[in-house]
Amino acid sequence: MDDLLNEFLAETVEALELLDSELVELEQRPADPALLGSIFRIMHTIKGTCGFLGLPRLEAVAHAAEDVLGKVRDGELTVSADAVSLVLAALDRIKELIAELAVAGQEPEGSDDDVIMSLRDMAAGKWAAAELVAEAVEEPADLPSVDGLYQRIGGASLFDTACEQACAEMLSAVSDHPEAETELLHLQFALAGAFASALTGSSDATADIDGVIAGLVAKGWSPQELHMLRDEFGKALATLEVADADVAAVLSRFNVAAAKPAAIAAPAAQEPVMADEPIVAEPAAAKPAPAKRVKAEEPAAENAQAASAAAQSQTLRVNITVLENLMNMVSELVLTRNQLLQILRGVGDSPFAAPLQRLNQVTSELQESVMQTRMQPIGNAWSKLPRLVRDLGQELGKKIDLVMSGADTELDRQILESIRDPLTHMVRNSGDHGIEAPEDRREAGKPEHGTIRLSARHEGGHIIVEVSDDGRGLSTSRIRAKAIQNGLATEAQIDGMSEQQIQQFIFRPGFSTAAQVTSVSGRGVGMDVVRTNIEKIGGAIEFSSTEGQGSRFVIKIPLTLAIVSALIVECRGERFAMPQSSVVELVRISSKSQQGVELINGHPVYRLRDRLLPLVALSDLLKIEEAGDEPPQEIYVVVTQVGSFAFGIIVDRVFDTEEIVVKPTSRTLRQISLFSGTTILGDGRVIMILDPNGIAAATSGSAQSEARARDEALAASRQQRETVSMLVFRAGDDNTKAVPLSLIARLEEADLSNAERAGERTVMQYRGSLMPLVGIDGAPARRDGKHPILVFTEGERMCGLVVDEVVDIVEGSLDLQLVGGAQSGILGSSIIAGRSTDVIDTVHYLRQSDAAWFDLETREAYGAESERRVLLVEDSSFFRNLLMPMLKMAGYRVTIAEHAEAALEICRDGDEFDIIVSDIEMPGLSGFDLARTLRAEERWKDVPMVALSSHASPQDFERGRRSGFNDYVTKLDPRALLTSLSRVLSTDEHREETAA
Amino acid sequence: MVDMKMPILIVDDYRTMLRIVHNLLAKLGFTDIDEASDGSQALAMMKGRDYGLVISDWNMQPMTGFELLKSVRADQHLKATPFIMVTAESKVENVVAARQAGVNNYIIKPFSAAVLKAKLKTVLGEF
Amino acid sequence: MSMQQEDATLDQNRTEDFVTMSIGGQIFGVPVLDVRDVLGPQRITRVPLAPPEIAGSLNLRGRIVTAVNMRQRLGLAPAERPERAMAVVVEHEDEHFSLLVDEVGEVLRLSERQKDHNPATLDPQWRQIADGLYRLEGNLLIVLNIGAVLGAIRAAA
Repeated sequence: MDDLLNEFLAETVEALELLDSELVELEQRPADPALLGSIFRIMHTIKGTCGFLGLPRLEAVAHAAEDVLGKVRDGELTVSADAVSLVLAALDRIKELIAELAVAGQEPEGSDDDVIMSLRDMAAGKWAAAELVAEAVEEPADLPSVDGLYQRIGGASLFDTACEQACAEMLSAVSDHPEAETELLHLQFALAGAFASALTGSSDATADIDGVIAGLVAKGWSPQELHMLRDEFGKALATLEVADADVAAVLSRFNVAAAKPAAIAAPAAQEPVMADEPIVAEPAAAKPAPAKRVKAEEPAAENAQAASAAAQSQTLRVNITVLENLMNMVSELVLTRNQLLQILRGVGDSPFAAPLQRLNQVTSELQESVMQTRMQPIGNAWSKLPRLVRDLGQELGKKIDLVMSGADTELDRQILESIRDPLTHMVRNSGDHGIEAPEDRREAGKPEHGTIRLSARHEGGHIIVEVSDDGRGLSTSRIRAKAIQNGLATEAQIDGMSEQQIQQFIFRPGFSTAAQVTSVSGRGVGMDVVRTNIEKIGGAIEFSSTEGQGSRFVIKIPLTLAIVSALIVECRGERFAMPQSSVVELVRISSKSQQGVELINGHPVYRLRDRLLPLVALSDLLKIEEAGDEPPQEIYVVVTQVGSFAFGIIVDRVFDTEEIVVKPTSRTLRQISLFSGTTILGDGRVIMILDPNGIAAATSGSAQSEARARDEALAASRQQRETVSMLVFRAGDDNTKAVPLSLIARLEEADLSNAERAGERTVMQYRGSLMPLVGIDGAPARRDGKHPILVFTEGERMCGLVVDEVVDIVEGSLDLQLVGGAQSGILGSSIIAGRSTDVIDTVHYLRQSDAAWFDLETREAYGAESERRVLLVEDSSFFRNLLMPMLKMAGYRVTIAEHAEAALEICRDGDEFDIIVSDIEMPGLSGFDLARTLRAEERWKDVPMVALSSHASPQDFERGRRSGFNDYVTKLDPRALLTSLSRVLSTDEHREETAA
Repeated sequence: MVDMKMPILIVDDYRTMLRIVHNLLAKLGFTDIDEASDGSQALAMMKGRDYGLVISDWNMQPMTGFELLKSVRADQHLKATPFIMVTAESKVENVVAARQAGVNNYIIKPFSAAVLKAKLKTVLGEF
Repeated sequence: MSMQQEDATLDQNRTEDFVTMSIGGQIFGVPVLDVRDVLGPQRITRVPLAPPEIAGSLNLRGRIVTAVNMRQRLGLAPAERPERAMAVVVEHEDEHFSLLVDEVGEVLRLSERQKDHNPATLDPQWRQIADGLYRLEGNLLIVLNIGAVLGAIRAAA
């Protein structure tokens, strides 16, 4: 029986989940017969099954709910919010009971009269909305005696059968009567119904036993016949194994003598009705429908039903454990396959080569198929949301629509489980904090109904899930106040931040504190937890909001976790797996010369194509002490990208890429943030899988001078989009200055007493040419003592900025407050490590070093001899302020648009541009959207467009091209942008000439 | 006499119910019991095997017990198969409808072995 | 389901089988039902940053098993020949662990009557992971509580 109970529990829990969302749908589509039928059916089945399993509480609650649903189905009740609330309340009670049943193996003691009485009132049409709040059980006298005689001896089925038998006996006695059979059938039901009401105390006025008997008397039954009926009924009860005492108790209610010939209301007067299939009205056999009755299904719905029927017969229910085992076995197979392939590589010519290749292929296909079985529609994680939103709306007095799309988008069930809670939290947040009360919305000129949108779609090996609402959005001033109040930032720090940056505080630990707790959202989960959970599965979350218009979360998650491609690296003789998805490229460096590796304030950085990457040695991170033997001849830099944060990891050796099976790390090792899992290599050895996110956090952490900054660094690495690596230095006065690391070509240290003088300028021999040296004031550098020199390059030219001291490399805010003109050499100020710091303008120094040639050379170098008009679309003020002077310097006339919508407006206003440079990641319309929109317009379909992004993977590039961009460059490489502009423009001219 | 070895098909889309009815039939002494999880599957199974009795739930999706009953009665080869409908509703109009569609009897859920036996007797005779 | 077990509990003469092992000269026992496997020396992958008790991970027929250095766990000096450690594989919270011990002995059937509670003099570090002890001829066997042995091991954040 235990087994049966378990199966019942599993099956019922599944059915109940479906019911939740269906009920909410019903409220919106009250006239949908299929929906109603489906809901009724589930409740009905629960009721029916519980009777068998001896679960009277469940049965009674389900029964009462079913009655309400039945009345709705029969058109006697209309679907109201109250009705749905009541049925949902019943559903909750059923769930509670089921939960206790699952633990204890039996129903708990207790009463469900509160729920049942309300449902009964509703079914009887006595419902007044106010009663929902009122404490229940006002008429305890009316309670059913569920565990009484009636149920104990067998309930409806027993009485039905006994009445059937008794009536059958009567029929053989009166067989000459042609109407007798139908009449007796009705008698059978009337009698069974009468016993039900008499013995359970329910007060259905039309069906008391005395009334039935009176009806029979009215039809001309003799007292003998009545006695015979009573006797046969008693006999039937006995054959159905009812104990003698109980038979006597039942018969005592069958008082033949009470019958009065004049009695009224023959129950048998009910007209027999034609087929009235309980779920969905049968169009062919249905009786003429009463006015309120729901209409027969639309043909389309029937087709859909047929289709789903076909689909259903093609599916098979498989236990999750079986699937998990299958997956494990496939993982083993993949490992063995890898092992065999590795052996094969070692032996060269082998007769096993061909069959192994086949095995290899089949294994991959099998792996793919098994992964497929783990895929589940994301809608499974959404099933509870309609109910949640509905209840939220009721509780808060808001009108909220939940619109879901892409529910059939499939992803691995493990990932599905991981995002279920974060999604629920975000939707709840939207309903609670986002959507305004109807009156507020009306005042704001919005429709009373707020909308929460939930969508999912595939995008390049990932799933993109969006949660957005058209509510009030985030009030930046409130976030600002709370961030300060909770000690997450100082007032000065926040003053230097953009609106969007301030909004990101919602993801910071310690933000969602007591002040925000409401009965709805304040359940101890903050957005920091949401973010952590999503990042745990290799996903990313971004947030954007416009006050008054709404908020949007965009979540990017991988399709599967189980098997990934990984680069195997070695460090001090130990191997590790690095997920391939984060690896950008590999660089081999001779460990003696360490060419390209430079030290900045003790922190190594690597110059990769004129871009400086922070470097971190894996051996340092993992604290693997140096082995005694010789250091390797060469080292490798694994260039890694996490978000827009690029850094290099130093390892000793690099091996092949392998498909690895990700296994969770032991519970005892889970605190180590640098590992995301464990795997077994082809040769059978166990290795740890490195977690790029964890390493990124640790790297930016180690690049900071103070331990206090560690938390900030973690937060910074999470907010890669908003920060950039800055070199902080001192020159001239005591104030620290900064320059984006990406703009520094090299860092040198030289004794300036050896510098030469060339005319007005100070120069030094550098890499085979003369490099002008300037001081922070732009004047030729003084030739005194040792100084660090920041080397800037532009085209073929170089310039060395002599500074007093390099302080550090830190993550700096992208928000740059523009001050003065470019003349001053200061681009603006930014908050860096909590202090307002001047960000210098490298172009200024390059020009100072040789003003005469710079403009000319640059223009020639980039082919911009006549003023070209550039529209720069960029939401980050930092990049705007960084790029605009550069573009101007290179001879372009620059117009700025702060977002794609503004760009569209400018374009449509009639302005002409020779080229459009647009950021990709922007709130609202993205750069892709902008390109697609413009490409669809006659005037802009051929204008060159260059995409600007902090990500520049081949996929991004391809996507950019498909959206209509001519080129795609990374933001942090301004020179690449200039080169691209000149190339695109010349191609464009060439094309025009050819066309002409 | 009822042949206790005759094949019986029980149809329900709730696995728990299938198990319950299966157990009850076994308790009454029947030995050859097949299960189907919906009307269309049942129909396919009936075409492959001669069942001495079909016990079907009324409320199923996508093909209901009522539709199954009508299909069975419309099929030249299957139409004589005894058919018992299981329902949780004791509404006279449903029974009348089922009767008209040719059901041999019906059982109201939940039921005991004794009730099942009594119902089987009305369809199959004494056993 | 539990009838037999209940009967057994009532039985004063109940016996229990233990896999015995020696760690630093002391005999320990683990209930035989908790033991999944006994292995000879294995290739163990060291895990950087792991708690000191964790010797590393090993591959046991495709399953990743975490190796626990029992000498370290018990606060004993490191073994002279750690590479010769034997492994007793146990399961804890759905995860497999391999307890590295000096030697694995025979399986002993011990009677409840031989059992004592943890003596007050037992080292506090040991008391936390001991489930009582049995008096053997000329020796004592300490019963290891697997949950306690493994439960407290956590990497520093």
